[in-house]
Amino acid sequence: MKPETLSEALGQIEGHYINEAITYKRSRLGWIPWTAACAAFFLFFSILINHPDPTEDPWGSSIVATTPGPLYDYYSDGIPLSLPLVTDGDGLITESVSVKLDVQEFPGGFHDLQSYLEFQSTAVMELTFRNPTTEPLTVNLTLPCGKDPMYAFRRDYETKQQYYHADRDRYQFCLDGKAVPATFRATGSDTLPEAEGTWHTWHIHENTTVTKYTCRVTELEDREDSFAAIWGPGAYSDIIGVVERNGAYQTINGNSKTLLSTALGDTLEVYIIGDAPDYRLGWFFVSGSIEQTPIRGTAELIDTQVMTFLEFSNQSWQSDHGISRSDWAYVFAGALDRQIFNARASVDFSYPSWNPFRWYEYELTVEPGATVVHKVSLPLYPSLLLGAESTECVYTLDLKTLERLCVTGSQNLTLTTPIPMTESSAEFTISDSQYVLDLSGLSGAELSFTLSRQWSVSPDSNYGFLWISAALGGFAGFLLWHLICRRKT
Amino acid sequence: MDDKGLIELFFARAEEAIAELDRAYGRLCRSLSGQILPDRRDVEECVNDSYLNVWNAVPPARPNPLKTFLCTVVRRVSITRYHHNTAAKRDSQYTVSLEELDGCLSGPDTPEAAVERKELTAALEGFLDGLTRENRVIFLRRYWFADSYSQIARQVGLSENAVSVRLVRIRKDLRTHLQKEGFL
Repeated sequence: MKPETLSEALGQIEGHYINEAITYKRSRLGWIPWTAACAAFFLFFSILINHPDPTEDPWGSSIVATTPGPLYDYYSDGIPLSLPLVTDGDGLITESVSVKLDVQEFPGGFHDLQSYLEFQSTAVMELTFRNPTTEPLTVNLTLPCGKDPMYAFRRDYETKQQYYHADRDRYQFCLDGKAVPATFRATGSDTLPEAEGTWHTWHIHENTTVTKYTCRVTELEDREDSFAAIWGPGAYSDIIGVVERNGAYQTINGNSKTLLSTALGDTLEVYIIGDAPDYRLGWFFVSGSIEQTPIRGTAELIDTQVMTFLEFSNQSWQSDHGISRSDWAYVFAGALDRQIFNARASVDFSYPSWNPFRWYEYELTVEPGATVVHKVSLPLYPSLLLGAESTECVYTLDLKTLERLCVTGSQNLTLTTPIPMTESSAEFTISDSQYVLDLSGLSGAELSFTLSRQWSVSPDSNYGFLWISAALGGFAGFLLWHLICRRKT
Repeated sequence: MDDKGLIELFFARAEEAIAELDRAYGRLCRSLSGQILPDRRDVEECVNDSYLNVWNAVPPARPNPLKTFLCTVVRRVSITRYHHNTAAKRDSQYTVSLEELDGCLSGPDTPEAAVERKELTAALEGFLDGLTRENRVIFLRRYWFADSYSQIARQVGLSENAVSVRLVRIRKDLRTHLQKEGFL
């Protein structure tokens, strides 16, 4: 017997054991010493966090903690900032790169569209290109935008509108002050695709055949908790079945099965993705989602329809997504792929637990001998710990593309922010209340820095009395701890 | 919001049900999933998927208590993700707790494993009923929740060493119990 078998069997035990393990509270020690210990610790700690840190803050004043740390850690990825990537065409010389970051506020969970769009942290990247040839040069560029951060606003609960790229207007591309049109793209995979059509583990493409089988429940034993069940196309490793109900998609592959709550007269639909000429449609019926007792029931096939995967995916496409129909097919395939990976969860586009990966594609033309400034403006979203009080956020800058730009001149990063920087992977210098970094020598690396609002500038004060109280509180705590240890032994 | 209110939200198919569920039990779910999965992103996805599972199950199910049902779902989804992610690396508390159990088990898998699992669950429940309340909690916190020794020690008010010794004895008793029941 494998430990996994035992673990699985343990997973099936009755709920009251689990409830007992969750709610169990220790009762070995009396409440008095603990209450006293807590009071002493509270006194000690409350004084400690009000004590000025001996380190100097970047602006030259002593800094103190002003807010408590998060009550719980809920890590949320941001968007790593990437420089534009030249994907096609060469000959342009990149004379300089300037990245200006402006972080004036601390991000939080954005619960409505307005607060999300009003978040004002921005990045402005300026690249100076020169065309040394005697012919006009045209290059294609890509700007990866990553995924919407998990804390971004993604759904309007009133209108049920889904936003995959609500902040699209904040991405702007200019060449010598003139706007450059850019095409927004998206995919369901986790990174920028290397090549079209190879983005998913089960190799779906737009023209993959999808067969839709529609059945009606014509006979069903009268039970309150009846479910229609169906097995996946187990004989075909590459064939995926998808069951749709109320806009949510449940995949069935291999030898897995799925259950749908059903009633007499309901319509049952299953889509088989890929060619499976011998697939045998077999709905059966059970009572109870856990015990799954077989019950009498019949589902009669009323329609069979063949379509392409693009047509299938279009059923869930919405023009407001901001994603093209063609890209949506890949976003949809990625979502199904992810769902297979996660085993039992369904893909619900009205409440997605994932985001598509996004990027922009655009074209620049530089006249012979000309020097031009290409400017990209975009919002800046850090990774952060969301909690009752989030205090730190981490900004990441992907400098891989800098290597490919082969910059001949200066390459600088400037950060303007009132929030103190507490950590960084490279050494910034401070000038005119700005953090400045020379990026030369850092190409190919990943730059990150942390801003923390837990620390803020505060004038010095007389902490003598507090020091004595802290010492007394600590001593009382030590005595109580000693007493508790003696009682335990 | 209490469980009754949450269940009513799910029955009403109210969109805020998920948000309220997260507010009430998000920390517990992330903690449980985090014991099994080392990557915080995986944890986040598993917790979200668990909420979707609850959304799909309620109605018709009306779990009581909801917290226990949710924990069961989170554990199942996290373990599924775990098996996808890892090739027996000691990278989570769950791996370590599985390795400990390995020591009290032997014998190959049989084709009747699926059938046996139900009987095994019944045997485990019999074993748990025979334990003291404190030992039962220690065992489940370790092998159901995959808590670390220090976390268990904090919950039950014992030292880490005492928890370790208790678990050795419980595992020994479990082996004897499973042998008696014919599983080993």
